[in-house]
Amino acid sequence: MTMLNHFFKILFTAIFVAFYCLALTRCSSVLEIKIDSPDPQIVVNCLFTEGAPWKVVLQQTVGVQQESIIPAIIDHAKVTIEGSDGTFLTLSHEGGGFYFGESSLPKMGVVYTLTVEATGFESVEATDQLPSLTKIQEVVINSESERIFVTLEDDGNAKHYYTLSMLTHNIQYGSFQVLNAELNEQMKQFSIQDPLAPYIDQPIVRVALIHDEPFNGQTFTMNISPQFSSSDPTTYLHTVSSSYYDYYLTKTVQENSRDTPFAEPSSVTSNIMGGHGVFAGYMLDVDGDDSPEILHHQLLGTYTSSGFSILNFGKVDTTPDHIEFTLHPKNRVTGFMQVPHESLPDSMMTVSLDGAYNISHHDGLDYQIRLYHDAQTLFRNTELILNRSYSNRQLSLMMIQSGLDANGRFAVFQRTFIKTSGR
Amino acid sequence: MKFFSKIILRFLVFLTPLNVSFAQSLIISGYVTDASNGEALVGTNLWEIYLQQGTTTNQYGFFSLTVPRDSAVIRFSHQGFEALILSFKDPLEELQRIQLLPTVIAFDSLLVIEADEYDGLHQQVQMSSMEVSMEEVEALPALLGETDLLKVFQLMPGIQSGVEGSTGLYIRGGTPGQTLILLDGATVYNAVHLFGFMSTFNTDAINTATVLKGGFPSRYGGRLSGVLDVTMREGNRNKFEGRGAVGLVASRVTVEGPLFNGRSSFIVSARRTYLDLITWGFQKLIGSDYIQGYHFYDVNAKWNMDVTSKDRVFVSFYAGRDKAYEHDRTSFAPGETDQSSFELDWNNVTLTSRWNRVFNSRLFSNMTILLSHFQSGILEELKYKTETNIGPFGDRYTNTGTFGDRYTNGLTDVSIKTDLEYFPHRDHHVRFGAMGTYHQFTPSIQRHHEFESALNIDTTIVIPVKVSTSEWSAYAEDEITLSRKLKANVGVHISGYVTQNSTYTSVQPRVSTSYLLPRDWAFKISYAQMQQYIQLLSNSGSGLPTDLWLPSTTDIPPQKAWQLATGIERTIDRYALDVSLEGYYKQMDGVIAYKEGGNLVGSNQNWEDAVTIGRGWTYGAEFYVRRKRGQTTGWISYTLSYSHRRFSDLNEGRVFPHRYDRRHDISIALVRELGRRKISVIWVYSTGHAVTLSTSRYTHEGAIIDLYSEHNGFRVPAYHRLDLSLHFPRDSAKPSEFILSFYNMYSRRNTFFIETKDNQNVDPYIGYYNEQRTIKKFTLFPIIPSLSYRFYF
Repeated sequence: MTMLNHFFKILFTAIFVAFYCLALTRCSSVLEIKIDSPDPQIVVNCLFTEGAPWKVVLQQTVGVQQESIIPAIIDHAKVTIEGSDGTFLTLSHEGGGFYFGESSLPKMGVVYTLTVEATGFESVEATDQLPSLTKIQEVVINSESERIFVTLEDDGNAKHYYTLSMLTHNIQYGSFQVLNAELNEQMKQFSIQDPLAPYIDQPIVRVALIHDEPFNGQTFTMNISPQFSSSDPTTYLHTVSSSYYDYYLTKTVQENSRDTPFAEPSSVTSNIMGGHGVFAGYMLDVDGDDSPEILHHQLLGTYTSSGFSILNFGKVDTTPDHIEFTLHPKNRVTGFMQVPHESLPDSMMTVSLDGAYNISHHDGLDYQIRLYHDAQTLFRNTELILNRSYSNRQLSLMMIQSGLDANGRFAVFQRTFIKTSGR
Repeated sequence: MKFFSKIILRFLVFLTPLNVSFAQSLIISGYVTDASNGEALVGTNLWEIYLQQGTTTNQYGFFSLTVPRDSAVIRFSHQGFEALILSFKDPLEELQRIQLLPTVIAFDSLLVIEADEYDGLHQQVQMSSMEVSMEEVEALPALLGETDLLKVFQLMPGIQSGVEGSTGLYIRGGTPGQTLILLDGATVYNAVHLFGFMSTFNTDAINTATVLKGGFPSRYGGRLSGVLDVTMREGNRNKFEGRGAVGLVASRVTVEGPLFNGRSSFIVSARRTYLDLITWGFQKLIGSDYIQGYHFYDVNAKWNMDVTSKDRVFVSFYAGRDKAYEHDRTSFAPGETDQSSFELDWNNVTLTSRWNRVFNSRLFSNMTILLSHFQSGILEELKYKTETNIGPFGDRYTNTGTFGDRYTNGLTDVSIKTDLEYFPHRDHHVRFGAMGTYHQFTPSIQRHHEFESALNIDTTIVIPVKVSTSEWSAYAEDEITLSRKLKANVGVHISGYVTQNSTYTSVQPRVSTSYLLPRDWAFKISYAQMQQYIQLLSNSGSGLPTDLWLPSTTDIPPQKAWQLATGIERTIDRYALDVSLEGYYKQMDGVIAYKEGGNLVGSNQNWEDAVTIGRGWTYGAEFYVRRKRGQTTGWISYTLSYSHRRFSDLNEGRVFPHRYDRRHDISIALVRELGRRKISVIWVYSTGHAVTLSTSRYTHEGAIIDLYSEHNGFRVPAYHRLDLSLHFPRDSAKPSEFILSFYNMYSRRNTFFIETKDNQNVDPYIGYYNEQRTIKKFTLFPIIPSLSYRFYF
């Protein structure tokens, strides 16, 4: 009988422990699935607009279980562009996978074909042209109702695709909601919908990607509820080609469904035959003071930093060192950094930062500047966030990166670059 | 060809006036019931000993057998009951009342020796049919000790499970939305509790349960892949009795008994979970502002009465409701409280009213009115209350307010149905009938409510989306005995559907035949066409309440399928074994799936845009050995299957495997009696389900973009698990037992879902992204022991 009592005691303990385990933990472990890397393919990124130099960024696809730096730059390709008007040009590599062409600039009505050949890869080809420009008719700011009304006149002869975004004075993309009922379904594609809360309102976006089906050939006013307080934002209306629209839409859908375990994975549409990425034309109309060109000019110059901080479990370590880089036109960057030697603790080593940089302003939190170069440094493919302070007219770049440190602990690395010379 | 002409010939013979040609015959008809409680015995075998011919009782225990002589000796046998041999002589009363006595346990082993060659599988025309008794369900181990009918069916060949622990039935490569679930004839749309981990069927209230995987007789229609036909018990006609069970998750109680001197009986069974009561008490006790809970309950009730000797009426009712809730109370300032609530609930109601009438010994009729309702809802609400003292006298001023949204979706069906069974001749058993159903879909009702006492605002805005459609069907089938060796069931199911501006109709031929080979092997072959007008749009396949039932529309046509199945079957009486080997091929057209990334569409105003239409093929072989009597009972099954899909919008239009395309599936379910104790085990093994994984990637503006090569191109590791349960009966006047069960005995870490993770290791100087990707699997259930107590009173 005592045996049985003991048995029951153990049993009941086991049951309660099991229940707690069930309630409090979800067990996870690493799954060993071998994923063979497919043959690498060329990835093209080229957005062109009327009168602006050609800029093509090339990288290659990398197997998911392949240990590699991403982006894996292609620096030996032959990149050509042929126009339907008979123009032909070959782009030159300027470092970091950036290819430039400054002749035969994009013209309205010309169909352009991009061809990329590189040894070790299947050649790729893509075709696109500039869409006709739709202008912003009017931007009305109603500070009382906290609404911004953007009016555009859609041309009924063709199907149009647009992206609308707004820049506020501190050079941050302002997020907003589009309240027009006829754009409801389109806007929903941008937000991850919680399957348990399907009635949620309009998503908050930084870039609204829309097509003109609900207002084709009409003067249309977008009713915008900004999530920022700015009396005078700069409004950007990109008229984009369908290739551009499809690429950004499917890319957004993939990003949104990525972390949902039961979601069907979605692929990103590409107009690059035999490869991936996007080759697309756009036209831009700006209402306001800030334009990407002005900003780009302001950015050029030399930046230095003399230390970084690591925030680790509330503890802050600051280590001095020296990093200097210069942003040149045509997305070229030169520079170096002096850091403690890996194996010789008291000596320093110099690492080159020569390569390319890119400014992205299509999505994401703020203006982002990325450095592309061959050295394996933290700045490779890390966002440098731009802060423009109007009081002292000084530009600074911030780098914030979180991850695991050498001991596997969570840490935040932070560094500030101050602009020391240039415009 | 000869075979078909034979069928047609027999059919023509039957159409000629029969009473003339068989004037000499004796018609024996009536009901077979369980002597101990008066309940109808469904599927009792009747065997005329001299003529070597027989029949079985229908769903209400009714039979009709025509013998071309003036006398007959009939053996009545039913598993678990003493066989009875009776002789009948002309003249006979129109209705016989046959009662069978349950077998006493002590004789059970003896019965095995007695050859019982009349109720074998080989005698039935029906193939691809699986049934389980509630005794078997209760004897087998169950997750958390909660016996579950659907999970036992998942152990049958050709029936697979989806996500771990879920109750969905994937029959021969079909999906749970393609399985018709009937409870006393009423469709149950969402047969799940506890987010899909438990089914709504309370075993104490169930009489029989059968699954058809193919060879569908004409009387069934409306789904492509399978039929689960469940009938509720009718209640003891002899005495009042009760039974119940206490488990870790839920407890249940059942009361039944006779009414009107045994002319009527009733049964009421109720079940509820109580984990929330315990946690609620605990959360209150510690004064928590955050309260979270979950519960479900369900009630089954049935009443029946013999109005006259030829008329019986039945009313059966099921209601079940699940609710998960979360209340969070916060106070930002003194005198100010906010309470935010989130609730998720879903419920099912079915009501069946039925009238059985025996017109004469050859004609049995059944008239049914059915109601089925399903609704799920989500509520999000904020209540606030501010109390301030204002004015020169410090008047207490209270302001309360509420604003919230409730989103519901549901489906209500009203059906009227008539079924007739006609026994014109000993070689014919004819069934025919018709049904009309009115469906009202409410795919989305949005209700916004605002109330503010100070401003005297009370607004409610309701935005309903309603779609009404109607469906009708008619059928006729004849189970023909063509010769001693050859039997066939030939029939047709006709259906139609009216939706918006479109009308769909279909004529679905159905044929099943059985040919007796030497050594009692039966060779069977069947062909069936099916059509489905109602679609289930599922986010996860796990039976979450967000699954939506939607009508076919002008743009989304009905799903269609045809299936060819063939096999051999035999009952080996010496060892009490049923052996079966079947192969099938099924093609489905118009199946729906979410478009890429369209999985998260919560608002369904435009659900037609979120889905894509395609085609599916499934084929496979199923092997099955089952022992129904003896000290050791149970079955071993093996299924080899293939399930493919093709959608123009998915996988670039190439064929890909279905998510639950499980190549190999083995199930072993055994119960062993050790004196009065019992031990039972389940072992399952199945090929891991298919997943889509990215094979390569690149970055754009810092974001990783994944590239996929093949849809469902990878497999998670094989699923396997061992469950064990021990039954300890207690000595008392009324039987009762403790059940100790272990789910996942060796704690196999089966994959519930997978997640990919990009590792980012950073070093301030030489650091770079280590971009290697790891794939993590999440396991739901390790070993789970549980204890429950079952009793009778």
